[in-house]
Amino acid sequence: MTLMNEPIKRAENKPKYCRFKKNGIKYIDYKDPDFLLKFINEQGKILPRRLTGTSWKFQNKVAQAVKRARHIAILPYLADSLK
Amino acid sequence: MKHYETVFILNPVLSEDQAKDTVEKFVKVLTKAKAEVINVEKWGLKKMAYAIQNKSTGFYNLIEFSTSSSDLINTLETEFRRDESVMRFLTIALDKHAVVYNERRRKGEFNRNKKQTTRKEEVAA
Repeated sequence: MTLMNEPIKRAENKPKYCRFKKNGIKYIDYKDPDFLLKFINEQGKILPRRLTGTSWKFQNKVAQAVKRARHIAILPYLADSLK
Repeated sequence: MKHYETVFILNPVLSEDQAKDTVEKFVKVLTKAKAEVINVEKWGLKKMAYAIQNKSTGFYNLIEFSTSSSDLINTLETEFRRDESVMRFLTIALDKHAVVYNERRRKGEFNRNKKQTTRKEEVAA
């Protein structure tokens, strides 16, 4: 409920889209750390869909790729300042 | 012919040639079982994100192969478990998108070496 004189922040309610569908990426490589870094936060946790806006199908693929990368020590399980 | 890909980490204590012939040993296990080895990659000594067996670096290797026999994976994994110089291994089955991706990666479309590759290039290619 925006107040009378409060500006509506345009940036917030621009529609989110699934970057995998848009760019036509079909496979998320678990061996590629700099691509996966976009989907985890500073502590190394996987970002939720409501922030990244990815579709359910690709969020599962991202989560699986991140967990595989963690298993072979390409990504840490927990980190303090990752980026 | 299902496609598989296995990544394993060797103990950094090994010398270069010891690491080389352990990789040869695993490739031999595959070729002996008539699997078709598509690609063997050695990423060399890499820093790991966290310590395994309190070592912070390791020799990373990747073997991509395709086989029709399903029990080859069990024999390969028991081979990994038996060899104590292997600190960690991960074998996955590749679906069709992954196979296409690996071929493009081998052709260097994602130009692994040049740092400033952006995802758009990857999609455009």
